[in-house]
Amino acid sequence: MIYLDNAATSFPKPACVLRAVQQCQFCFGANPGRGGHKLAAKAAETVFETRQALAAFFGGDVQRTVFCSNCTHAINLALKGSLKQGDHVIISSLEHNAVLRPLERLQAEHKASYDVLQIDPKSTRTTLERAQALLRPETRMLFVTHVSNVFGTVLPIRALSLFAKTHGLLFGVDAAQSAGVLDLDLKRDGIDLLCMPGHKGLFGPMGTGVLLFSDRVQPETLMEGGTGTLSLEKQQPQVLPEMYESGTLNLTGIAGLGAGLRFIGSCGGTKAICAHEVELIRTLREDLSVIRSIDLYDNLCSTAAQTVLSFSLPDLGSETLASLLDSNGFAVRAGYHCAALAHTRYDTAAGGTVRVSPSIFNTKKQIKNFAFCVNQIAMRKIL
Amino acid sequence: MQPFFHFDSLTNAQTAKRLLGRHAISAAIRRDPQPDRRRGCGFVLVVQNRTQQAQQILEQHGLISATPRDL
Repeated sequence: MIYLDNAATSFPKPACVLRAVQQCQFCFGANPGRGGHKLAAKAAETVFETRQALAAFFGGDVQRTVFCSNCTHAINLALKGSLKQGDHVIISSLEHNAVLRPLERLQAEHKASYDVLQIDPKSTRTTLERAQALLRPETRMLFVTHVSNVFGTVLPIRALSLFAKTHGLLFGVDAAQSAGVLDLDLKRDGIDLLCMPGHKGLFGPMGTGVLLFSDRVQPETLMEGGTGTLSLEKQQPQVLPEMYESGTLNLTGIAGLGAGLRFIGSCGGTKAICAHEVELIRTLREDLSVIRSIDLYDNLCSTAAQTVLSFSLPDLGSETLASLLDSNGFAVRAGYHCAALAHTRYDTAAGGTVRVSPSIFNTKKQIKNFAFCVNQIAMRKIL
Repeated sequence: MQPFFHFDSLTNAQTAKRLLGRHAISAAIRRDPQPDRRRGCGFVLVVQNRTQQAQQILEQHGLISATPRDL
């Protein structure tokens, strides 16, 4: 099976990640930050090392690097924890439901409101003009995805960050598709809330996510409970970052995530990984473009950093097409990719798209075989 | 007698340990052996040497605000 669904989760995981998970379970699977014994200390050390590595990797502070269960959890904490009664948020037209749905709920409960900024992939200036038109006196935050999970469109986050700072807004980024693939730095890029999964581009196990935040914001907690300290106090301790991490942490996941970060370094860093994926997508685009009937959603990306490609065949539903590809040994995702706004924007709401998202483990030969298979399906040689 | 610094946050204790290590001051993290009877448990950083300098470094980085106690 050729796995091309890395935008959902990366697979396979690097051997070093599997070893780290196994070693953790076999050798020191105690509860970090609770007991004082050697195994708990080793577990806590592992958590700290990963936290420190994440902070260094993304230009954040250790104390403001919070482990979450996934990117959606991190986004919920960022939005619900930071927005106050009556606040207004601007989000992009390419947001995942992880951003849309929490805001839709806040809006339904009359706690906060939001507007959608139509991104012009070809003109940052137009995008910024549109953002300007959405500003209100109560606008408090600009929250955008870094890379569309459907089309691979890369948003101009530095320009958007500058816009946010100019207008006194908090700037939040959903890095679900970019963490570990594109260079990101909380301080340099002026990001206040940076949300990411640990199990996609960072190669950690599922059940891991991270929120990094700047010193301009301190979200309220979403969940309260045991933190391993100040146990006699009834109120949640206000100590960073433990105040956000009540309950037992996903130690094995965090150990694997730490190994995933080291793996990225061993590959030559995000630049090398991105270059490999971009080259695979370029090859795919080239090979698919010879299919007459295909709808390739490749004209939406304004940068050379496209690592995800969506397409469809007009007379074949995306789910049927993905199922045929599955039968022929290719794992891709079809449908709407949990991103209602993105499909509305690009008129793909009728049938969705088939999405291809390779990783560092995929080869050009695999991509060419995949494109050949799509061609065969398009010509009805495979039914 | 071993001087130690109290931390409400394990992450802060770990950060402090790393920081002192960079100044060649060895320290070890332990559960607080004398937890506050009103607030409850925490962690301590037991400093093996150069306690005064350790205190200065930790204060400079905003990691502690109180003087060390003795085990």
